[in-house]
Amino acid sequence: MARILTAGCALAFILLIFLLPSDHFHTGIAHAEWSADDLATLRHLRLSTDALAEKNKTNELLFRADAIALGRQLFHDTGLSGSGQISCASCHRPEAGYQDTEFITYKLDPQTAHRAPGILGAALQDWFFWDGRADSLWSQALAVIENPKELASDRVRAVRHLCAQYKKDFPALLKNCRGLSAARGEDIDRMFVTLGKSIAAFEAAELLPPVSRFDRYVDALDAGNYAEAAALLNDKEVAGLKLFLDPMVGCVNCHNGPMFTGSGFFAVATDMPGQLEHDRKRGVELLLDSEFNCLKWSTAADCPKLQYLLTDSAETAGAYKVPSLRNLRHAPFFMHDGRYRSLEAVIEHYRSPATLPLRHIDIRPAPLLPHQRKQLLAFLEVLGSGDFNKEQQ
Amino acid sequence: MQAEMQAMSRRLLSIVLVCCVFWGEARAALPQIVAKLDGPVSATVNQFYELPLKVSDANGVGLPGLNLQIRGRMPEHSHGLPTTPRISEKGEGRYLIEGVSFSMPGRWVIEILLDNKLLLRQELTVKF
Repeated sequence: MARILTAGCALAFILLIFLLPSDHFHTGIAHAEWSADDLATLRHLRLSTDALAEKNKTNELLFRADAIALGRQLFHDTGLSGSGQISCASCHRPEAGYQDTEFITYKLDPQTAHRAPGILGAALQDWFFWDGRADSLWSQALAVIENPKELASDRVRAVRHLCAQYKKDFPALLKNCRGLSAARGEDIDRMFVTLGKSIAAFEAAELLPPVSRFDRYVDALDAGNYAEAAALLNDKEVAGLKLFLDPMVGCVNCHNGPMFTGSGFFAVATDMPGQLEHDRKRGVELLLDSEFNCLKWSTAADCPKLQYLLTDSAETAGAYKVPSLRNLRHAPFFMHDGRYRSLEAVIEHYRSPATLPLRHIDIRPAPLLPHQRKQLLAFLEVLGSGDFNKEQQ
Repeated sequence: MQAEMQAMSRRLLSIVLVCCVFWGEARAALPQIVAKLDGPVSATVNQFYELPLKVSDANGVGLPGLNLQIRGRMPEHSHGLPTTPRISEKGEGRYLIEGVSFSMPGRWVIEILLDNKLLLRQELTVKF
């Protein structure tokens, strides 16, 4: 009898845990009661463009109005592709938060091991592509143009198109087009770099994330306006934010900074046998070989990331760049290879990551109960709550 | 850039690692190590830091020409530094470690090795 009673009590307790509304389980924190450390972290995560100049130090065309205007046109220009049919905007669709909602990544290369991410706020990050094989936004654009599985063109063709199409409208930027017929390889390279830097200048000026409800919430906390804070995030979303910051869950360890990515590389149990050539380990090799890496175009003092690059480490195997968590509203798929179609599936992955034997892994299972997974999801949706097109108008 | 990094280093992370190495009668014996730390033991994520290091004998005389290495790790996680720092000699037993960066908030351990043997272990807290 005693055994039955004990078992009954245990069962009732377990049922209680799962059946009670989630609000019973977060601490119901008053908005005025964030600790000083938590507030410092919240401020650290608030959207800011202060780092633009530092992150794009090797792009002297940053903030130049003519480069921004040229970059805007180039971003949509199908003439930069070998087929003449696709542009940057094909995979980074303006009407869908610059996400690849039409799955063009897969249409171009059905065997692709990675997907095109959303690029709002790319100019506020370090390292580009999932393996970080580009160390500047401008060199990322150039690599796409010459990738046979992406825009599938080449620099000579791209520079010829640049001069033919834009020389008249952008004389100061494209003055070297005059000697194009006699241009040598290095002249072509320089003009190709101007093309990349113009696209990057456009991204840095116009493709920034909108201010989200989270950012306004931190503003309200800073102003001591707790009534406004309470109106901005509901209890469930605040509970999700608390989980996001919780060291036991660990999200903020990698997803930090104003873009919710520290631009680091971590192995999160997403590498697959046969696809290892696309990880950070391979990215480092490609970066060092790249004709457009920082050290080839700038002084060593401007390239600390490359000067002190982590090269000889087992930790780069199976590691991919940490993506931003802002503006996932339109994101059609998640993780470097697009294996998940929902944020619920991503959270489930972190709750129970599959590991390979003898492989370095940077995460531990996040102990999240079902109602906590919903709270975390609610918070992530807060980060994509800005209406990009509306705020750009 | 170098000047900026030096200034940042002085301002934010005035860590001076002083290693007093007492060489015993026999070189084979493990040296007695005394480490002295000045200034706050904290840093910010994703910034570059320089760590000045001095290695001296028991009488405070600097030891130049040592084969030093650096490594860093997070004890609560399974990873090390996100960069490959470099150590250069500055004369009279002074060394400068450049390119130290921390990819994650929390407790980090920095270890200085002499001929691949542990010389000094230093903890620091990294914050946002």
